[in-house]
Amino acid sequence: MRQVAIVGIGHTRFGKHADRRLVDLMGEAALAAMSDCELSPGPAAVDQVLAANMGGGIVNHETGIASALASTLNLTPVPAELVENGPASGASAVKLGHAMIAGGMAETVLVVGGEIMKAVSGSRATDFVATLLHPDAEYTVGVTLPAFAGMFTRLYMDRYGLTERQLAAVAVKDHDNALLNPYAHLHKQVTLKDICGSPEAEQKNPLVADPLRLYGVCPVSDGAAAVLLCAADSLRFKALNTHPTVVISGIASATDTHCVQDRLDPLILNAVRNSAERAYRMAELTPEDISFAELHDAFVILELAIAEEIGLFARGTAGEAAIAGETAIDGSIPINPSGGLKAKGHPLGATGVSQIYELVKQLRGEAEPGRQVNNPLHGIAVNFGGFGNNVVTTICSREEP
Amino acid sequence: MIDTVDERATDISIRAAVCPVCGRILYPIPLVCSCGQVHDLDGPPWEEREIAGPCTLLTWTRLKALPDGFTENEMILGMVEFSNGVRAIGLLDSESPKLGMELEAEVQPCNAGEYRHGPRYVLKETSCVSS
Ligand SMILES: [Zn+2]
Repeated sequence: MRQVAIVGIGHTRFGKHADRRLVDLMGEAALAAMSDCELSPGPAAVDQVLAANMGGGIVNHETGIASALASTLNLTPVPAELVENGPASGASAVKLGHAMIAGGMAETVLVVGGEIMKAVSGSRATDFVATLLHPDAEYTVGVTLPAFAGMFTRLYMDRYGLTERQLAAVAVKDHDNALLNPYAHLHKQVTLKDICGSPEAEQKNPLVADPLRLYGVCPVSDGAAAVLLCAADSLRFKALNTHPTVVISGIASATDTHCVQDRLDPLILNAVRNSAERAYRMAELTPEDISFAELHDAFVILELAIAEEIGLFARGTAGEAAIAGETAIDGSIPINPSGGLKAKGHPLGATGVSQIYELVKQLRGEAEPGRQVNNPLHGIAVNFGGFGNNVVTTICSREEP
Repeated sequence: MIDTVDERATDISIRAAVCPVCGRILYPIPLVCSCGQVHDLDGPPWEEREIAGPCTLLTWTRLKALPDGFTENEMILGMVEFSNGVRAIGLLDSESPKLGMELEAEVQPCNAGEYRHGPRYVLKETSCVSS
């Protein structure tokens, strides 16, 4: 299998872009990724474009996004396809781009993820995301992703004694990190005292999906991110590799039952575990080798549960670790140095690409002062689709020159 | 011509299928059982059972931000398990839910917004079941 490097990365600010066209926003990230490796757009610039998006058709009334993107970037006649895999669309597109290069179909693949959700009301956006649930057994009932997160959190608290304070500590850490990330949606510092432990704090941090509170849930965000993949043994790599070399050392995905209720133990995230095991095996690494992680904390409980599922902590102990500062930038295993979905934001199709953007930025040593992890060698990202029914795990590694 | 859209909501049973090979009770009904048996839609139908009645609350949440189509301010949702092992999610009609509490699942129609039309469980405390 050919080794695949990530030579270019690009990112828009996450937040509100409801006045923009989806394809233009994605194009902005794509141009940034090409500029990052000094590549000029043109008909022969890349061998393949993969776009990642979930709701263009439903929310923005825009379809055919991959071809529109190729056209506006003057990349035609480049082959271009759209990857839709729910909130895991972004990392799925990177996985397919990796497979195309590893399998010899392409030497360079431009992967662009993007979403504009704030063009509609919050209740419409919530409804649109809920369309990925089972239409009869879940959607019709009124279940949403936050509802699943609330039910999951309650079970987790009951079984492991997780506290509201431990959950709040995840949000506080994510907000601290996002404050230093210029692309993050939320630039707002909060303290534990602000959001936990008093009637005033409860007013500021009301219940959203009991026991999950406002600061336990990611914002609705717009944004785009892009990465340029290149075969590491190609001539083009020599021209495009203008930064410290970062390669995809492991990437894998897995599925779980469509209905959460069908899982023998609803607290076990089988797709997270299975995809991570395969990615570790491909990278010939173990959890002990990982320097930092970008985990899909659309709900703060997921940062803890995913960290445990991929072997960074023993089951039921990630909450204590969060409050002890072990997952902070200067902790033993920094998690979500970008601010995570919780504070950086979660524009669905962009999220998985944005996580991998962050892996590359950290591994190159190019993160902003204050949120650069100390000399990382291997970073892991988990992009979580549905309520865990389709998950992609990616491990990126810095190659020593 | 009479618009028949509302008839969708009048079928208010929720059914599970019994796998003819391993006997598992399957809800929602899949095309292939976890034992591998294929649900041949052109072949003899699998036995179906209505699922309702006594069940146990596994977990729940009080949802404050409802999706488009619902007009309530909040909704309590619960995941339950029936004695035959079938699990389901429904609207929880209890002001003080507790994990492990015994409930009675009734099936009622849901008509919310453009796309939510069909039967759903309403989970009631055993002492509050309508006769
Ligand atoms: Zn069977």
